[in-house]
Amino acid sequence: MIAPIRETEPPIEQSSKTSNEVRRLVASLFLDEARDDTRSTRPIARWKAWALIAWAGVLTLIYFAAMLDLI
Amino acid sequence: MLSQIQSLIALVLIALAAYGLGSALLRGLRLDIRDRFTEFVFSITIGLVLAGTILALLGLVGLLYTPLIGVLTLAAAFWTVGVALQARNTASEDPAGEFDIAAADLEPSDGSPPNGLLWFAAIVSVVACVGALVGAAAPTTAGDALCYHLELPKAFLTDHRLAFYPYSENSTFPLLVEMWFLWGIALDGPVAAGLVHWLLGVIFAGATVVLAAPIVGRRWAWIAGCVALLVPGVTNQMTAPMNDLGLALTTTITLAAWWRAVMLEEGRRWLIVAGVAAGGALATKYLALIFALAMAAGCLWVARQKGHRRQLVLESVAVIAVIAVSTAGLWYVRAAWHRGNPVYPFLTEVFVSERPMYTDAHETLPESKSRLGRTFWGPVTAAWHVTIHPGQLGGRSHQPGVLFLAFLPGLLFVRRLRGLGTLLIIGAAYWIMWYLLRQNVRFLLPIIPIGAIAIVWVFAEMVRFPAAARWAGTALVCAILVAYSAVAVARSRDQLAVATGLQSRDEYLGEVEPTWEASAASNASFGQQGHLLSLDYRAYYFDCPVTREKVYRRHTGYDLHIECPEQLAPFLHAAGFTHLLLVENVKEDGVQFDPVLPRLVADSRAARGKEAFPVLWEYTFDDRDGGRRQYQLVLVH
Repeated sequence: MIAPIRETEPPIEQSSKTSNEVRRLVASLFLDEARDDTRSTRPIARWKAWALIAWAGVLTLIYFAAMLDLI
Repeated sequence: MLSQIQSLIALVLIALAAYGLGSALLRGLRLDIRDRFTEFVFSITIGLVLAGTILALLGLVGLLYTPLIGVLTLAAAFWTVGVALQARNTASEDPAGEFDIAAADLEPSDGSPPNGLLWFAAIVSVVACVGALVGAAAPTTAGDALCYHLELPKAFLTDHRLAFYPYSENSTFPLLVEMWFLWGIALDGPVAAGLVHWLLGVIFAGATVVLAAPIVGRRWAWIAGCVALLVPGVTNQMTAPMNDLGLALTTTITLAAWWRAVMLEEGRRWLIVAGVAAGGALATKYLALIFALAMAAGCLWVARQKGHRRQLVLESVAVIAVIAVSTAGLWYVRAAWHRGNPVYPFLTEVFVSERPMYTDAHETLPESKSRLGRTFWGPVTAAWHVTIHPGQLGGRSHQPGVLFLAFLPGLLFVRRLRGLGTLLIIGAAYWIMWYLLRQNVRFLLPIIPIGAIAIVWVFAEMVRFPAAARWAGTALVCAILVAYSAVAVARSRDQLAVATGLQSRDEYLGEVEPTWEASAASNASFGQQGHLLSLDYRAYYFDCPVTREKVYRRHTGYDLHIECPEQLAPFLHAAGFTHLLLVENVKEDGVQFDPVLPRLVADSRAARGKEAFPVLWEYTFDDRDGGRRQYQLVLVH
């Protein structure tokens, strides 16, 4: 079979330098980089995680109570 | 509205001129800076230090003229625009090379922050920035600003030189930030000076990003910058022309430049940048000496841990020290020349004055500045007081907030991060010296970036938490940041009308500034021709020179030389004073004023009758602290 003639790709429009710069800046800020996530990491023990969250939560409550002159 | 626009234009001109000056230096050093944001932050900070030093040199030779400053500023700003346009036209065809994230900035953790968290942090930060901008765009009524941060630049501009005022304790301080305020006052007025300090807060956040990026990666560095910006003490400082943000900015840039030279080994020329920034810090506040010692501790740590970098560390200390002393030395020499003490009013026990104080002699380590005492475990427990009771340590408005104490303990549970240990050594060394020397929460601003980087690492490691704990922690952090942002906005709500031009500045000051009416009467009555001896330290809005009565009495003990009431008027006249500003708080709430001068005046009036010390203007002002002040503008007669 004769392969169909491949259509030529439309010419790439020349975008301005400014728009390219802006696009790359936004991309570097807000798009996730492609990375190899195959490296596994051990999760942090549940008790450690909740100990930190509990400490932070209680301290935050005490802090706001102090700032509002409730204590 | 026109006045607001004028103030903003002045700010833009200052920023352009400073950026141009700094970027010229960085180009000359041929530093390998791979992204524009980092280049901008370093350039504008170094440019501000150089510009402030140039203004100081102009002041030393008596060339502080507003037209000259204006011409130089316009020339620098237009030159900067020209260079930027030229650079843009000759930029490489491949834009990818300009924005490649440096290899050192890649994420060290196993995941970037989610886009939603980045957007959230950016939005709350922008909201807080706008709130602080409203406060900065209003005429300042901050006491310290009216006492010397703005008063001294105004006086220098009036006298066209860096004059010495013997009865102004602050006139021989390092005054680099005050040179920036002088710049703003010369171009526009006190509002432009306040906007300069607002800009310092924004650049400070950028400096935190620049410091954090090689350690936690660029995306987490943005979070660290937002955390630093949202600290309640930072957004508060952004609303008033003080100098603590200037110190925090210059110390952070010093650390960031040193990091690139020593830790990342990106070239020894970064040490020149670090030296100039360190000079800027030393030229801002004596507190920078403590930060220098803290960095020395960090250098010792690095030299110990990384033997192959020992020589580089030693070189960094030497180069930074030489350049910093060269940059900041003029302020210390000036203080030594006029006061005999390069760090006046500190270390008066070492640099003994020939003319001792009559009252309130200066102490280097007064008990009043160490409310928590000095104990072995004090540095540990101080973290609690700093977080929960900041009002006892300099005021709630300057507090670091709750995030640091809440999440720094998480470092015990997460993995070690390369480089973070060195930062924590520097932070811990500074914290201990802060505890031992000067326990005021606003003096903690220089280590806010270090704390922000540390807790951002904890946030990054929360990805390894169980899902429920991760969500709870994230929600807690977001709630705290929203609260900080709300405080920044709420704080400035009373300034919204004057900041947007709906209310005139004079009308606003008449409502909120205690000395406004007296200054208006004084300026209308004798303008710059008089010399006011004032019980109130708020001096900026008076056109004439103002001397604080308390400081004058401390240096001269004049009250001890008045043997009879009839001597008071001739004595004050001979000392050069033409008018007095007496003030008394008739309520128990609020600030109280020294009764010495009012008592002397009352005795003189009783002895001499109505002709003694006639009242030119008197009024009552209800202060926000609950006090009621009675002011009298009095002629010395």
